[in-house]
Amino acid sequence: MAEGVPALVAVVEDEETIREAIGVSLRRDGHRVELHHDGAAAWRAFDAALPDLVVLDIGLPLIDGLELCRRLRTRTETLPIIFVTSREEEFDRVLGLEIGADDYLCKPFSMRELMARVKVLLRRAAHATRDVAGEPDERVTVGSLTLDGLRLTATWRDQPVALTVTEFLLLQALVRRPGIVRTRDQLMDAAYPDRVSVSDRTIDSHVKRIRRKLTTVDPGFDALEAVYGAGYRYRG
Amino acid sequence: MTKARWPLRAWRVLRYWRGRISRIGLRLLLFNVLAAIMPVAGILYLDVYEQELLLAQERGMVQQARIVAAALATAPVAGAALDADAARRLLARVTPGDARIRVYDVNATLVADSARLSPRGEATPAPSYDQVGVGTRDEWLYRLGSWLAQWRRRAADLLRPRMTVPDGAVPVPASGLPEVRTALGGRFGAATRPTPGQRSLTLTVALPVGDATGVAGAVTVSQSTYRILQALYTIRLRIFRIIVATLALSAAISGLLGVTIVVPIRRLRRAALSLARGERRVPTHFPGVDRRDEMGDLARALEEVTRRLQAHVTLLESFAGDVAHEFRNPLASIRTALDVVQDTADPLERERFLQMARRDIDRLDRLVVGVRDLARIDSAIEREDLEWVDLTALVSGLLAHRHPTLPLASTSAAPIHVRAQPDRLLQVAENLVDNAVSFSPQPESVVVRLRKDGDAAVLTVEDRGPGIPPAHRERVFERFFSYRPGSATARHEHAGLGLAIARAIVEAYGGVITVGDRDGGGAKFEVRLPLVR
Repeated sequence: MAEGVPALVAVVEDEETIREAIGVSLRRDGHRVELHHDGAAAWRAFDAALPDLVVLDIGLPLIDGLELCRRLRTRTETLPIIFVTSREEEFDRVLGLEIGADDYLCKPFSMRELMARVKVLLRRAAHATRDVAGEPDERVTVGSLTLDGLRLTATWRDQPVALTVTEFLLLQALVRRPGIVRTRDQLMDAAYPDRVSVSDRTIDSHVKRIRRKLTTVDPGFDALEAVYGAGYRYRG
Repeated sequence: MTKARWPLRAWRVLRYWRGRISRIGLRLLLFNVLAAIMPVAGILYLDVYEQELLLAQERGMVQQARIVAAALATAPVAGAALDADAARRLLARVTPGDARIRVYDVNATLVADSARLSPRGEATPAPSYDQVGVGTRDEWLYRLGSWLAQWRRRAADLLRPRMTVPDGAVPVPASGLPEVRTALGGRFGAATRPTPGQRSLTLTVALPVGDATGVAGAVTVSQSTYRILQALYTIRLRIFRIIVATLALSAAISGLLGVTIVVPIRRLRRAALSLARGERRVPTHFPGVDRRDEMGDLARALEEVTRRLQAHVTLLESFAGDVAHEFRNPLASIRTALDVVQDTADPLERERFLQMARRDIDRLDRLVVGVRDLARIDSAIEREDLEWVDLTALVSGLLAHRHPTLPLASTSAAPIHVRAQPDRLLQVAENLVDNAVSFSPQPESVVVRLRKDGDAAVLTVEDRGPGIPPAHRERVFERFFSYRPGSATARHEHAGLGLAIARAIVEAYGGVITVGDRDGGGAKFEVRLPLVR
C-alpha cells in the first residue's frame, strides 16, 4: 500500500443492505471499495488483484466465507480479514478453527465499530511493514508480556503471539492494570467500544483463546486468571 | 364422643389400606378367594345329604317294623292277645344289626326286645360318641374346621333362644312311650331322642301289630344315627381339605400374579414419575423392555414416547436457533441501513437506505408468517378433517388462477383421488409451482404433470432453472435453507420455508417429496401421495 493512496477494502456479503451500507460507510471514511455478493465472484476478483483488507460474511452462496479465507491465506499471510457472522454458535466455531482471521464481529454490529476495526487493522498492516519514526511509543510491558499498542502486536519473552484485534484489546485492558479484576462488562467496553449485541459468553471464549495462544508459546503461562463471579485478572 | 368418632376412624383405616394395598393386587386376591370359597356351597349341600340319609334310614326301619308286624300278625287269631313267646322266638331269629326291635302288647308292656334276645343274650350296645369316626375327628384339619364351625355356631346361638335338649335316658311314663301308644291306636308312631351319653340321635318308628279286626300290639324299631354322623364327618373333612388346599393355591396364584403384574407396573410408574419430576433424562430406559409380554410392550411404548419427546425437544431447540438466526440477518440489515441514514447528509442516499430497511422489514414479516405456518402445521393437520380430493381438478384450478400460461400435462383427465385437506394440498402445489417459476428465466418452461403410478398419485413440477446439485437435494427441504446461486436479491423474497412447509404437509399425509434433475437441465420436484381406490 503506497503512501497517500486510499486503501482498497473488499466487502463480500450476500445481504444487499449490509453490503451497500458497509460500502457507503467505507467510502465516507476515505477508502476505496469493491463489493461482492457471493464467494465465487469475490474469488475471481481477488485472483486479479488482492485488496488491502477484506470484510467477509460466513454464509455466502457458492463459496462460503471460511473457504474463501482459507484460499486467501494460501496466497497471503498478512492480508487483514474481518469476519461478520449472524450466529453466535457459528462465531465460536469459527474462532476455534484458527483460519487466520484478524477479527470477528457478530451481526447485528455497529457500523462505527466496524469502521474502527478497519482503521485499526489497516494501521497495523501499515506499521508491520515499516517503522514509523516520531510516532508515540505505546508499548506496555508487564513481566514477560509486551503489548505494542501501535502495531497491535503482543510478545511473550520476545516471542510473537498472533492475536486478533478483539483479543488484543481485551488483553490490553487487563494488562494496563495488572492484579486488578476487570468485570466482563468493563472488558466488553474495552473490546467493543460501540458494542451492539455481544453476550458475556463471547468474552469468556475470547479470554479462553488468549490463554490458549499464550500457553502454546509458553506452556507454563498462568498469568491470566478467572475470578469467579467477578471477571478476569492479569497477574503482573 | 368415641362412639361418634368411630366411623371416621374406620374410614381413615380404609383409606390407609386402600393406598397401601395395590388395588389390582387386592382385586386379584378377592377373585381368587371367591373361587376358593365355592366349595363352601358343598357344606350347604351336606344338610340336604343328611336329610336324605335320615329319610333312607327311617324307610329301612319302617320296612323292618312292617316285616316283623306282618310275621306276628299271622300267628295269633284275630282279636287274640299277642303271643309273647312267638314274638320272642321271632326276634331271636332276626339277624341282629344296628336296629333294635321291640314288641309291645296292647297294654304297651314290653314283651320282646331284640337287644336282649340276641344269640349272645346281650344287647349290642351302640358305639359311643367317642368311638364314632375317631380317626376322622382326630385329624388336625378336622379340629381346625370344627373349631371354626364352633365359632360360627356360637355366633349363631347368640341370636337364637337356647334350646334345652334332654340328656340321658328318657324315663318311660306309666302309660308307655308316646309312639307305642300311637301305634296301639292303629297309627304310625315315631320319635327322635338323643342317644344316651352320645351326640347321635336315636330314631324310633312304631307300627301296630294286627289286622283289620283289631290291634294286638306294637312293634318298634330304633336305630342310632351314628352311621350318618360318621359319613358326614368324613365328607366334612374332605370338603374342608379342598377348601384349605384351594385357599392355599389361590393365595399362591395371587402372589404370583402380583409379582408378575403389579411389581413391574410399579417399577414403570416409578420410572415414569422420576422422568416427570425431571430426575431422569429423556429418553429414559424403562424397566422391563426386554420382556416379551404386555408389560414389555408397555415399557417399550413408554420408551418410544420418551424418544419422540426427545426428538420433539431437539426439533424445538434447533427450530428456535434457526429462527433466531434467520431473524438476525434482516435485523442486522435494518440496523446497518439506519446507521448509514443517521450518518449521511445526502438525501438520495438516505432515501435509498430507508427503502432497503423497509424491504427488510417486509422480509421479517414474511418470515414471521412462514415460521408461524411451519410451527403450527403438524398440529393443525392433525386436527383437520380429511376429504377425498381430486388432484386433477385441484392442480388445474391452481394453474388457471395463478399461472394461466402453464398447462397441466396429465396422462388422463380422470380424477385422481387422495385423502387430504384441499387447502393444504393447494399450498403444496402452489409452493412448488411458484418455486419453479421463480427459478426459471422463462416461466413457460415450467412443466406440471400429474399421473398415477401403482397405488400412488404423482405430481411433478419441472423447471429450467440452474438445477440442484446432489449435495443439496435433501437440504432444500430443510427450513430456512435457500439455494439461489447468483441471485442475491431473490433471497430477500424467499425465506426458505416454502419447500419445508410442502414437505411437512406431504409427509403428514403419508407421502414423499423428492427432487432430482430434469432432462436437459433444471430441477424436477416429485410429490407421491397414497392413492384412494
